[in-house]
Amino acid sequence: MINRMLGLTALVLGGAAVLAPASRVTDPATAESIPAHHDAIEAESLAARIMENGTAGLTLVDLRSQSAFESYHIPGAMWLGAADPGQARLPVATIVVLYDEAEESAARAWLLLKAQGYSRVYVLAGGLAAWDEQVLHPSLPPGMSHRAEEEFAARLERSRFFGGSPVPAPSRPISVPRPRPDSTRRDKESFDIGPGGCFY
Amino acid sequence: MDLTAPFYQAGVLGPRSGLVVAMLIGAAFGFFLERAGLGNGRKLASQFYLNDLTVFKVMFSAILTALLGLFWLGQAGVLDVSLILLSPTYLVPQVIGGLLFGAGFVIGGYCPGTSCVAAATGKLDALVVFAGMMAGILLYGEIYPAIRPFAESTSMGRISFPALLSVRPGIVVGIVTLLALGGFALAGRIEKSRGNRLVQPE
Repeated sequence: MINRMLGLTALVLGGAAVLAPASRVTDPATAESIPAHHDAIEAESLAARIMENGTAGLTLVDLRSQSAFESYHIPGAMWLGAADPGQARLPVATIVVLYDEAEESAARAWLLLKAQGYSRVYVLAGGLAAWDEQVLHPSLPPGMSHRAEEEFAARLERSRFFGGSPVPAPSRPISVPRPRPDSTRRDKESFDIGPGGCFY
Repeated sequence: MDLTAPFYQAGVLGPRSGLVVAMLIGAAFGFFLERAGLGNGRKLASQFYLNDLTVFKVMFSAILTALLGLFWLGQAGVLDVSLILLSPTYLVPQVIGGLLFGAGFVIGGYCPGTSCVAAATGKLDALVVFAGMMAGILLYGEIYPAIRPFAESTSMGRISFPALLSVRPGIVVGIVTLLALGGFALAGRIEKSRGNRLVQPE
């Protein structure tokens, strides 16, 4: 009798769920983007900070494979090896910036470090793909306005600082710098630092 | 931490109070596993011979309760479902891991959780399985650097069925509810026809 009633309750709740609007429930798949909302640092602001103060007060953690780390990493970054980022002893007094090719393992490491009590932990927004696109290889659109030109000169300097190279102008004429694509959605397979990006 | 992800993410629980809550939830989990009869290796092994479908019924009752509870709490605005931490999917390594897990389950008579429950009531076979589980965890940790490329292959990210099928979460809730209720009815019939026999010691 109780089983029947429980079954009936489940049927009613499950059936009503089919009819319920989706708007109030966020897709769980977006959970990984949570650190990005609250504790992300944009590639451009990280670059500006390093250019200004070097890596003093910063702990940059590269979460990619050893071979990827050896072929390129953000200057001053450390590689943790196969160690779980949650177990690593990082300098507590510094700002920790985690990065990955995209954001997946950085988001996980962010959560682990937060659980360990590290208070100032950030994820590089868009991962190294965004760094590659925005800092190392910024693109130079033709026919841009004076202001955009000034802005681009700063980008160019930054790109050279980190050993990158600006990307040749796209063929179609546009008057303003193209809007930055959503680098987090970029295909991981297509990620390539390119020869200009090699620092060491 | 996975269990307390919404409170944790919302900042209600710190690292320490999170552990206390995890301890309480763990104790409740163990208590209800024991109450459901899952602290008995013979009952667990009988699942695989289709003689006793308690494991299936308990698991799906839990899934259904959590599914309907989370969905409707989310609808009521009490819970932010998007804050629940999902484990990422690595398809091939997880399929192989699942098969290994199942083989160990049939051979040992316990899964990790139930081996702890049964060990707590002093069952020696469960202690052996528990020791094996700990040795396995240690071994896995030691060989992980070598198998890491495989363990991280076929990554699908933090994917959910609604995202995979591009449907509203409610549709998946409805389908799983029907599957569970159908499964309960079928399990009842199978048990009746097979006379609810436990695996007997030889």
